[in-house]
Amino acid sequence: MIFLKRFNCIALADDKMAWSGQFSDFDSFTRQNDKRNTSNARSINANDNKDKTNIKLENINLGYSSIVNVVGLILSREDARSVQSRKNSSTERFVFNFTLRDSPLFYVNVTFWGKEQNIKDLTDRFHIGDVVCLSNVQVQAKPQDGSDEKYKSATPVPFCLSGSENHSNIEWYNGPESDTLLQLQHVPIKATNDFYTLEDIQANGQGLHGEHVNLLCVVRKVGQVKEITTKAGRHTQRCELRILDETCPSFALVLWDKELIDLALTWVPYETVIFAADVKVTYDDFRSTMIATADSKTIVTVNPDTLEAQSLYQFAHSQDFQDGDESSGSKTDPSLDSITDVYNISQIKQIMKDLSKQWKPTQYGIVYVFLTQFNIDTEGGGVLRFRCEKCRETVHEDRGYLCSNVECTQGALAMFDSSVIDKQPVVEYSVPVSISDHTGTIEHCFIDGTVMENLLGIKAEVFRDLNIDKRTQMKWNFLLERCKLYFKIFKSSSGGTENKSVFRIMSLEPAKVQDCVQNFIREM
Amino acid sequence: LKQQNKKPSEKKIDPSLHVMTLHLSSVPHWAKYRDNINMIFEVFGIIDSAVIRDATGTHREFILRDEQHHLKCVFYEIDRELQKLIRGHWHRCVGTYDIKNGCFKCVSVRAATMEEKNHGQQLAKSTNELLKQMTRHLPEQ
Repeated sequence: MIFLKRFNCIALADDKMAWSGQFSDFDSFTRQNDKRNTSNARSINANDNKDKTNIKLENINLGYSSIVNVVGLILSREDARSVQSRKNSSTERFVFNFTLRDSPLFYVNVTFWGKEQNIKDLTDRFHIGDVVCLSNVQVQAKPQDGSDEKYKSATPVPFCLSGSENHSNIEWYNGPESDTLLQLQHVPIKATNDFYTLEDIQANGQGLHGEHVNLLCVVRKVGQVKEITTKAGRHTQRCELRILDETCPSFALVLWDKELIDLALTWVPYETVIFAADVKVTYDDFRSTMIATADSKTIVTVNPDTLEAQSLYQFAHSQDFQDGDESSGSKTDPSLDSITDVYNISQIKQIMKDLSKQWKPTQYGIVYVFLTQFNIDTEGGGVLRFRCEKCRETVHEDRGYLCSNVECTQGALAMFDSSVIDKQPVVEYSVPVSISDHTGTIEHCFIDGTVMENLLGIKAEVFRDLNIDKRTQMKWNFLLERCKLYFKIFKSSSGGTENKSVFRIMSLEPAKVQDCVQNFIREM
Repeated sequence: LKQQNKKPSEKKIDPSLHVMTLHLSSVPHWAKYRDNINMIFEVFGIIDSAVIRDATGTHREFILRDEQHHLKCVFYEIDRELQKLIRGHWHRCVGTYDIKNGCFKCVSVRAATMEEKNHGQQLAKSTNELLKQMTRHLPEQ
C-alpha cells in the first residue's frame, strides 16, 4: 500500500519521463520503450557501464538529469517486497529498496522494480557494504510532504532514484573510487555528536516514545535469532541486542530485518561500536522500560571512525561488566564471608523496587527471616525439578521425563530407542518459600540446588524417596524458625523477566537468636 | 551498614505477613490490630498446666505463663501430633490469637533454647515499641 502511493507519486512527479509508472510497462520491452530510451539517454547502455559517465549525487539537478548512472555504497537495504497493482489486483510486482551513498554528505534512496525472481536475485546478491554501480536509473523528485521518507531513510537530497529490471541495471563496482567509497562505511551519516546517550533516553522516558533518535553504543550481547511470522503472514527474523554506553550498562536494541541481523551476527561483544542513525525508541509496557528498535529508516555505521566512538571503545575496554545484569553471574559472586550488610524485608522490597526502575549493580546482603511457607511435604511435587541429563532442559514426570527440546538428541533418540527413556533425569531442588520478618514478607522465592541441599543435609535424589511423614518432620525443623539468609538482588536480562529485579537466595542457615536481637535493636 | 529506614509509622503498612515476637501479656492487645497489620506472633513462656486433649479430640490445650501473665494455648494436630511437652520448661509458640475464644492458636510449639529464653524478652520489648510506632496513626482499638 505504501509503495503504491509512492509509485503514483513517481508518475506524477516526472512528466518528462516516458515511463508512465504503469505496471504493464514492465511486461515487455516494446518498440516504443526502446525509442524513448534511445532518445532520452542515447549514451546509456544498461549492459555496459564502462563507457558511460557516472554522476555524483551532489551534481544531480532535478531540472535536467533524469536518467543517470551512479556509483555508491549500499548503506542499508530491505528484503524484496511484493506490491499489488491498484488497477489490477492480480498483478504483483516486487520491489527492492536500498540507500546508496557516494560521499560523506550525500546519500539517496533507491527503489528497484521488477518481477519476483529478478528482484529476489538482486536482494540475494547485493548487501550492506557493497559498492555498486546503478545504470539507467531515473531521478525523481521526492514528494514535498515528506511521505516518501515516512518508511525510508531521511536523505539530504531532494530526489530519489528508481530503476526497473527492463531499463536499469545494478552491478558490483570495482573502479578507481572503490576504496574511497568503502571508507564511507565508517563515517556516520549524522554529525558525530548527534546522538542520545542511553541514559538520556531513559531520562526522557515516555516523552520520546515513538521518536527516531541516533545512538552511539557498544554491542554487549547479540541474542538468539528468532524466526517470526507477522500478522500479515510475512516471514521475518527478530534478534535482540544488548548495547551499552558510558551511561548505561545494558539497553535493548531490537533488529527485525534479516540483512541487519546477518550483519549483527558478525559483531563482537564489547568490541564492536555502532552508530545507529534513526532507531525508533519506544516505551515497552511489559518491561516497564525504554527500548530501541531498528526499522526501515535506520542506518547503522559499524565501528565509526570518530573520536566519540574511540573514546567509547576505550571505555568499554576499561570496564569490568562482569557483574550487573547477567543472571548467571554466580561465578563472580563474592564469598559469603565478605557479605556483611544486614537488611530487613521492607528494605529489600525497596531495593527491588528501585532496581526495576533504574539499573544499579548487583546488591548482596543478609536478612534474618522466618520461613513462613515451606511446603516440602505436599503431595505431587512442586519441590523437585527434573532436568534432561543431556541438555538440562526441564522435563516432567507426566511426560515420562521425555526431553522436549527439539535441539537435544536425548529427546530425538527416545522416539526411536525406548531404552533411552529409562535413563533417569537429573533431579534437583526447587522449593518455593515465603520469608518474613517484623516488616513484612517476600513470597515466591525459591531455594534451589545446593542451597537446599546444605539446609536439609540430604541430596535431592535421597529426598525424592522420602515418605510424606518424614518430609513433614523435616519441614518443621525449618518452618517458622529463624534463619540467616544471604541474598543477591540483580536486574534480570533474560526472557520475560527482563528488567525486573530478581531476588536470589545464596545461602540459608539457622540463625542465632542474639544476632537477630542485636540487629533488631540496631534498627530501632 | 546501610540503614535507610524511615520511622515505620510514616510509611504505609505492608499488607504482607509480619512475624512479631511479643510478651504473653501484650498478645491480646496487639491482636486487636489484625485488620490493620497482617501478623503472626512468637511468644516464649513456661508451660504451667497439663497438656490435655479437648473433649472433641481435635486439639490439645495448655497454659503458657511468664513472670506475671498467662495465656491459654491450643494446638490443632493437623499434619502432625503435638510432641511431648514438659510442664515447667520454657517453650516457644508461634501462632495467632483468637480474640473470640481468648486463646492462642499455636501452629508451632517446641522447647525454647537457652538463647531464646535469654533474648526473647528483649526482642518482645523492641517489637512492642515497633508496634506502638506502627499503630500511632491508627484509631484506638
